[in-house]
Amino acid sequence: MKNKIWLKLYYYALSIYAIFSTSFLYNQFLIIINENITQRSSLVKMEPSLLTDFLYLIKDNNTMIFIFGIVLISILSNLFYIAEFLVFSTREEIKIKRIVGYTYTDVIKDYYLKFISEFLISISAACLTCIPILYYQDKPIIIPILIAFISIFILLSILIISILVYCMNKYKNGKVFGFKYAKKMIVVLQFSTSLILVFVGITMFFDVNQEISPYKNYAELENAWLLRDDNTGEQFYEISKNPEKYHTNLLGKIENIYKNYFDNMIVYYPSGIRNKDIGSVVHLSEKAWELNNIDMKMFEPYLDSNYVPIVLNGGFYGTYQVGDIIENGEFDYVVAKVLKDDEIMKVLGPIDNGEHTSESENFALFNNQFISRELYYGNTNFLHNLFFYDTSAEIMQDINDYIDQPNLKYTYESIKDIQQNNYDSKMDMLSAYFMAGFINLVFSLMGLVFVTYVDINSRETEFSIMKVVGYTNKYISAKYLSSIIMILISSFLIAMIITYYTLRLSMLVTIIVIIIVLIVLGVISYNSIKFIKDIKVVEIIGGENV
Amino acid sequence: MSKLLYKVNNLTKIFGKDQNCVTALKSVDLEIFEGDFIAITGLSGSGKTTFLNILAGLIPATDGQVLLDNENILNWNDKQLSDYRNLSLGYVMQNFGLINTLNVLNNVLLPIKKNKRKYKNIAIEKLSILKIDSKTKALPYQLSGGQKQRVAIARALINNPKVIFADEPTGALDSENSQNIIDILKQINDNGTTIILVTHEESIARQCKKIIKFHDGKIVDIKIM
Repeated sequence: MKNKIWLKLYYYALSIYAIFSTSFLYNQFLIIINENITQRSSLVKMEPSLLTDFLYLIKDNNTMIFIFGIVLISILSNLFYIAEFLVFSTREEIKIKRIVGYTYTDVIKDYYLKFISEFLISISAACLTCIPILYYQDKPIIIPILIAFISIFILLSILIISILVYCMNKYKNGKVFGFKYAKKMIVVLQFSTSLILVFVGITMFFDVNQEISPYKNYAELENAWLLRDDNTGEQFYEISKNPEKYHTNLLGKIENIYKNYFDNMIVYYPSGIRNKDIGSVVHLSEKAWELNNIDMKMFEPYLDSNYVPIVLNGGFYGTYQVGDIIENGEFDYVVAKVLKDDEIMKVLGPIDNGEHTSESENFALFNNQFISRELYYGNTNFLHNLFFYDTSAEIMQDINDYIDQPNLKYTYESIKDIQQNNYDSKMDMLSAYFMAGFINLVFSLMGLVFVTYVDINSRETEFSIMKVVGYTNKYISAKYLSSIIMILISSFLIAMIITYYTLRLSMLVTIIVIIIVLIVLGVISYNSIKFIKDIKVVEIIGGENV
Repeated sequence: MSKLLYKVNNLTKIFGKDQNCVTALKSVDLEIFEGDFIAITGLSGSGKTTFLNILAGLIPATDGQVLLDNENILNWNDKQLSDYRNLSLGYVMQNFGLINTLNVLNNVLLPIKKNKRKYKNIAIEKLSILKIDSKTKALPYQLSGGQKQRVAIARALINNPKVIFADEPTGALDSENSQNIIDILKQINDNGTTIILVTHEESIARQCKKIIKFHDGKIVDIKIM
């Protein structure tokens, strides 16, 4: 068979893909089980993982499970194509074996052994290739290889036997070989899955870049530090339940730090008290406003008043005017600005307590007089992380020594280093995701080429007859490609609908995916036209060549 | 004197390259006139089917000319050759060449690229002439060999071509069905359509107006009956 080499390369590539994917997912699994999940409220404290990083992006966990489910189906589809392609390309051999006395069981057995032995050679070669790379990258080796090997072996065995039995039944009944509609649906499913991955990947790429960009300001700060606790959530839960008990030990010290070093601190915390009229408020210091590129001029008229200036989100446009007073118990807010509906002001702190945007939250200038009240009401945001700038390492050490408790330890780190590590790990994860998305796309493209090949070959008699009665190659190709175009359009629409309801899908991302679909269409068209043009009409219509 | 339809000059066809090459046709010259009913005979491998396929524009020649109305069809592109096969000739194959997924009527209508509905009655008329109009909705596997070949002939006639090429049209049929098919072809020829038929059966060839015998890629005998 002339495609034998390509097929072996395909097995080899599929095996490598399976091993690397398994290793990557297994590594993520190890990170999750080895780390204390309760400490994962802040991204700074943890390595990124597929699960946690996707959660903020995808609105619904079930959707994510659904997406991963269809990715798995996509991989199965690839195996399906190979099995079908193999059976199809040797159908004459099967027929001849039947003629010379093989039973159907004999044929299936022979075929299965041949197929599996070839695949074993390829997967062994793939293992030899992967081991040094995984070893060099310090990734798990043995277990992922075993998982990949056993899964592929079992799945392939089931698939190849099922397809062979199916084909034999077809031969018995004397009907035309082919899965037709079921196969087309699988192609649509696989391709839409790949496109979903591409949609997610590109959206995520833009999101990470957008998310990272405000951090750059913090990372550029010289002598900026994060003083953070090294403790479990349980200890802080205990503190928040009994604030008075800890007041003199910890809360008092934190209050002192805020008071003494206020001019060197970046305060970025949601208030523990929700205002009944305007909901939650995020407090920022002047430095934090500045670091987030927010114009301070709007606050100037109110800075010397007794009111706290506030920027309201678009939901209040038309309800409040600049200068309106909003009562808030001990203190009152004065409206410095009301954002318009389409005016998005995204404020990201140097750590993630989720993201705060003008779509749902309001932003007020922080006043250090609030500290006692916030601490008293158990706003633990003030306890986990304290941010400093223009402060020397020596002063940070003093503060660290001052705040440390016998059973509650703090450490300080350079924000620049943290952000760099944060950025690097996000980009690592993103590249791994992109790689997976890209490889998946390549595999679905290869799957589509296999399907096209089998489809055209199974219809070569039909196409030959069409050529004999006067249809041009161009006409036949166009007619055939119309079904491929339908497959691609259906896949694109399915992927777009799913991603539209699960992601913040932008026009730019949609255009990029459309370009990818057009490239895929180009590749498939080129192959199809070539296949159709190369059909040997004379051989198929039954004449002698010589 | 009938009008000249094809003029074949120095037609040569070589398959393969270098040491593996096989010369299928060696400088063949021939004239075919309108209304001819030609049987091309010869042993297996003598070049008769290759000759027919080159005339039908299905395979290219290595050298020579095939002139149709003073135009060398060997220089034509895919579009010109497709139009030629579609409008000027009908091709009947040994294995019938029916599409298994299409019923009889749609198989006959296959050469019609546009407005198939308009040609439906013509297709039924052709099927009626060939006495197979009762099977218009049947699929090919539901027909006998003789019936399949009659459907294939009906398809070849759908565009009223000048010439019909038949490659071993009786090769897969029993003697009774073979004679029926030859009678049909004779009838078509009587109506003015040129027929070029490839066969290795002497009894079939003898019923044609002219027998051209191929041997080792050359015409060795032309017999007028």
